Amino acid sequence: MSEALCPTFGEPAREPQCGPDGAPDAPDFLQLVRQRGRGKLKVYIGSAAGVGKTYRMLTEAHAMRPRGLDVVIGFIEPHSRPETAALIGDLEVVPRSRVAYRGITLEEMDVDAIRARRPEVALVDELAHTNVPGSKHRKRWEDVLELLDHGINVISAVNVQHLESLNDVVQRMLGVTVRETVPDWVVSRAHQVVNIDLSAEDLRQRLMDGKVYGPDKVLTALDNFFTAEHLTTLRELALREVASSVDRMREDIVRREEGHARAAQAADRVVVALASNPPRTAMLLRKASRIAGRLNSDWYCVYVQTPEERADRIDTALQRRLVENIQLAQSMGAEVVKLVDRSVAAAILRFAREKGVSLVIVGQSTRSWWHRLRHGSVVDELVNNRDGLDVQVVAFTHNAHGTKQR
Amino acid sequence: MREGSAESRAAEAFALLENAVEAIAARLSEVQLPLHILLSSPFGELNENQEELLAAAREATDAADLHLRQLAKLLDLERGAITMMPEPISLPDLLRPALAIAEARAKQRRIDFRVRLSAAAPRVVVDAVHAQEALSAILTSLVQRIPGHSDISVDAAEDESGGVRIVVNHEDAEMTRSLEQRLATRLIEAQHGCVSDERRRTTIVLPHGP
Repeated sequence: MSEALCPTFGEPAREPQCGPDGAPDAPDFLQLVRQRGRGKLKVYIGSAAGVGKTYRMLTEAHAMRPRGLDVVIGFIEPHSRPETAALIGDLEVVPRSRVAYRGITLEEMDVDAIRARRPEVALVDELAHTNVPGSKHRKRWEDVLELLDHGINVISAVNVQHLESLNDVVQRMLGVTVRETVPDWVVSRAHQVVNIDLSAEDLRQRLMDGKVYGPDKVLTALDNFFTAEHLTTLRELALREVASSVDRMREDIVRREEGHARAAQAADRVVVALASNPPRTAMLLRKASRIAGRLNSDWYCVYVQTPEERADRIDTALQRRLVENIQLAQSMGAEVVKLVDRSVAAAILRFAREKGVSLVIVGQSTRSWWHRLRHGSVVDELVNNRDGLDVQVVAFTHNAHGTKQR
Repeated sequence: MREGSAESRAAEAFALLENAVEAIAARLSEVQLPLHILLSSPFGELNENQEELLAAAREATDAADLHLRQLAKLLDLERGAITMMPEPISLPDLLRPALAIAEARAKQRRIDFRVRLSAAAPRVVVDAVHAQEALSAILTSLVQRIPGHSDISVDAAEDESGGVRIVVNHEDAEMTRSLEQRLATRLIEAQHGCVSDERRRTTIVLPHGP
């Protein structure tokens, strides 16, 4: 099981933390919890039941107690999973409310009892759950909002298919109608969103081992919802959801650190500048693709067509090479953009500003010293930019090492 | 001859309405509860027809329940029982969840949904939870009401007052407001913003930040 963690929407008091590569890390939830005011929300997102969200919530609760935090279980549903039930251990459980109807008793989370108990942190499982009719709120996420409003921090969990905006996607891709949904704005209020990721094979194995459902349900589940295809799709949706939260968090941190003007650069997007007749284009593109991969960011391949390079002015062999290079960039995952401008550097810089790009990668100029002196150089113009963009110039020597210029 | 001032009569009507909402909600949950129990099949599996009929009944009662809860919240707002907790928030962060759900609904109805957020828009100071709830309700109900295959555009920029003006151009000429929209409007108004409806245009103004 792996875990990707990210805070989402920031608060003015929140201090950013940086990882070894300078990228903002998640602030410790403990730090957030100790801030006053409205309670903080942390949400574990998973691709399906059984990936380990509840288990992770309980583990975190146990880890919080020795650090002096008053943690209670508001509502946890172990679903007859022995590992989960055992993990509750000596954690305090706020008694559930009971609704009796003609001899049948239904249980629900007791929001008023949690509020009266006033813990620092409450664990509330299954954010999308619909409450028993007659409850204070229709949905559990409304209970959670009430707890947050009263300064109680909440750790909760939801499966990605329950997000309202993904309802149609899930219906279309999986043919499954999900009735219990959580509005996106509720999850977007979370201060941390953590993805509990488990491969489709591992989850199916857990199911077969009886760790998710009882034996009577396993075969039906494997044949219906828990197919490898469904689980892979849901896993991708969960990862995407958390990735977009990372972007939001980074934008927020940069905005607070450097003011609004730099906010667009928070996503570490990469642009590679493509000339119409570049030597060793493949090398340049591979380099950009690797850097974008390391940054887990989008990358663009920008080709600026100057008046001298109009299609009717360059020969067909050159045009063919250009098309081949564009196809190559696309096959490596770049978004290829063609711009028309008299100035290659100005067009690239403008594009970089608009798209929130933080790094421009360009090949070393192959023009003569005399030509560069007379006409200027795109590389020099890019390197001397005043937008604070990093520019990496890739040297076209036989062993070609890139040099970071600024 | 009618007794008392207009104000006291209004207060009385308000109290009657509150009592009525409470009484109807209590009766409604007595219908919902057995439906909820039956659909969870504690007495054995339901056949397809039974399940379909019970599910339809539950859907109808849930819709009525939602209406009552919206009305109750509107009444709470009117008597000042809901406390706003304003905080500064950037416009993209505020709008993102509402846009995500409205865009998804628009796609379903083949509506061309366009958004233009000014990069220079200032932060606003609102109770983000209630503002996002209101914005989601306004945008989603517009998307559901306008004809399929039509257009909707959302433009947000700094207002002359220093706040943010969100202009939604759409193809709804009716200007009839559902209870959900009225509640959304009051949620915005309760935090010193405003919502105005013209033919084919809804404008939301939110107060500016520090």
